[in-house]
Amino acid sequence: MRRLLDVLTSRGTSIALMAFVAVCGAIGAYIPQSSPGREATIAAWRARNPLLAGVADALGLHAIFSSWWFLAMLAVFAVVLGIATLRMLAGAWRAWSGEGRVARTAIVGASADDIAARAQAVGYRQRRVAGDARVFARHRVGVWASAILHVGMFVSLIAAAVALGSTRGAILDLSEGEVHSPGDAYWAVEDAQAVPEIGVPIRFDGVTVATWPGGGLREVSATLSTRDGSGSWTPRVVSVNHPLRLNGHTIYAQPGEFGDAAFVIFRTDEGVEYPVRIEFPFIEEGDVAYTEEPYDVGGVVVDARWDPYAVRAAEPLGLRPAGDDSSEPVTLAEGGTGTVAGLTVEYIGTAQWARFIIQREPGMTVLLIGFSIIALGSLMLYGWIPRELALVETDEGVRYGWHAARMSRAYVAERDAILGLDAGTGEDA
Amino acid sequence: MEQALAIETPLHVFALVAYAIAAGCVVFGTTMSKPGIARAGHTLALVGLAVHSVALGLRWYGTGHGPYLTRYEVLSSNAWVAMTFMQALRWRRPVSAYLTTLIYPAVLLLLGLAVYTGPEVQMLPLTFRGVWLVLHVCFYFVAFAAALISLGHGVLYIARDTTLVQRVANVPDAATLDRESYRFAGLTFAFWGIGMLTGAIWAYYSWGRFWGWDPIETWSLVTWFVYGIYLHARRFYGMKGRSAAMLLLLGFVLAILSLFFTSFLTTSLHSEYFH
Repeated sequence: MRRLLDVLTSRGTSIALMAFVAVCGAIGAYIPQSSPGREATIAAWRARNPLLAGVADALGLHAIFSSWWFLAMLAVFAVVLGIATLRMLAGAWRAWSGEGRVARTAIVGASADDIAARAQAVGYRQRRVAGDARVFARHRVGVWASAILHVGMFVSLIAAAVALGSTRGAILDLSEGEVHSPGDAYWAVEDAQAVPEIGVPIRFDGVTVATWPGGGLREVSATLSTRDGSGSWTPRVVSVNHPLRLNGHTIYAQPGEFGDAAFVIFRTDEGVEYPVRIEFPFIEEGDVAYTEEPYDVGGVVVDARWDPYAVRAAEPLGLRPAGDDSSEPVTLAEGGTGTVAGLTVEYIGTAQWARFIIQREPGMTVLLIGFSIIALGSLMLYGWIPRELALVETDEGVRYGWHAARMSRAYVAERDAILGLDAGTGEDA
Repeated sequence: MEQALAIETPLHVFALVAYAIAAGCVVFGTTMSKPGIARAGHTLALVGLAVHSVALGLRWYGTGHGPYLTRYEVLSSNAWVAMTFMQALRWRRPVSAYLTTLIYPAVLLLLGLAVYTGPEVQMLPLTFRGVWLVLHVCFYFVAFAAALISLGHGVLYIARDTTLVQRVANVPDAATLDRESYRFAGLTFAFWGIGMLTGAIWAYYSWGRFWGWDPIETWSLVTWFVYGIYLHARRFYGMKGRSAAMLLLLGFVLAILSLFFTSFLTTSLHSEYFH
């Protein structure tokens, strides 16, 4: 057991695991990974690489990052990292609280006071006097750097696993003035068993858009109002890159997921009514929008066009049976009626619509803290290299012990200048 | 704004010409023992850097966003950061001037490619906003410059016995080259890692997820891991010399792949970047 633990926590195992993740990453970056909407990309790659396609299928390489063996290896990596981190913390504590270096190397005729003055001039501070030895240190806090970096990696890895495993996501589709109340259905949920519940009614009040002079979206912000216990509404703004935090949930606005919606009612000859909200993507002045997918209305499939700017501005809504490119669409103004594929259609009105992502993300705060710890450790690792100098005054001169925790050869010149030696003639403790 | 854009392109070309002459002077001066010519090259590089700075500033003003979106902007910014990094290093440690024989031509290549791709302006997409994106990009620029300096030492180490390198003035001994490549690889690892993390935070605010195994993200992680393996192997297994320099070369190739080539090879969430 002890031997297994030693093997698992050895540096060789760490390097092997890093190499494993790197190789898997390279494979996963080269072979397209399956996700909704990438079927065509995968098919094209398979057509180009018929030999590799068989291997990819056999080993599940199109979903390498969610394969059981990759996740298992990541779990082993987390365990190894955790144990190694504990050992590093213990080592850093020993270095932090230890007695300091032993002064062994002698410099005949030197003065400890002169050396101490030169050390202090370049930033060394006297740490303690232990017996007859004076111990100086520079960037002493740097002894924690490696441990801090690895703590950050461990915390991030665990928080990422928690966040990925427990995030509840849904998509909320609202039109202007519409209210989503607790318990209402979402447009789509990632996991039917884990629906995020914000707990307060939310009303969509509209989208504000700014465009660049030459075209293209510059700013998009949506206003969502929430109702408190007294029944009053409080407006809140959510924009792309600035999600809204609400009751432990995060609400994201998405570029391209908003625009105008036409409210229409289709009626059959038998009097059956189908109210439909036809959503069009946002268009800039002079453009025309088309629905991304046809609408199925009681078995009749309809395409729609939205043209509010040009010659059809008076009757901006166009409808026709899906796939029928030969006939002219029926165009309607608000309040107007017409007939499409045997159905009577009435155009009731227009409003903005927007689609929001709602997520409950336990672990995200911890993950961001983990990231900060990694950043701190990385900067400490190469910004604060701890050096320590012990000096003992003797009858013949001075005995010294000098040590840099990392990259000691880079500080040889500093060491020898402090000790008053010719460059490269000093020794590490 | 349009005036600024009309001026920045000729200024970029001027900086390119200055860098070209500077690189020629420095390579010729240091290999042919003509210190006066090398000094003139360094002065010209500083002039080029000043003009390049103005050009990038005008580009920033003209487009309304930082120079980090199109190929032109990304390559030019990388060239600027690498040149600034090199000049800072030379100012702090004049002895490191030997490295300019590699870094000046590399900067010339980057800026030459930038000018070749053309200064077409692209408006910043909605998701490419915010302080986290700016931090993400800045840390990668610095990481790339550090990787370039590190590789420069590694290349000099590998080629130190060749006649050409032996002619370069003041090239330090093999141990110093090896040590310096290690130091700057450490800096690359630190800044690359922070660049990746700030990118994850930007992705979280933009798309609601911090990591998506997007090809550019994944290559970036692979690069970071390779630098991590390099640092572990050096510190704990005493790897140094030629094998260390070769591993560094692999890391640099991966860095180039993830920063500049992945967007050519595959579709990515970063697809607006480097186009």
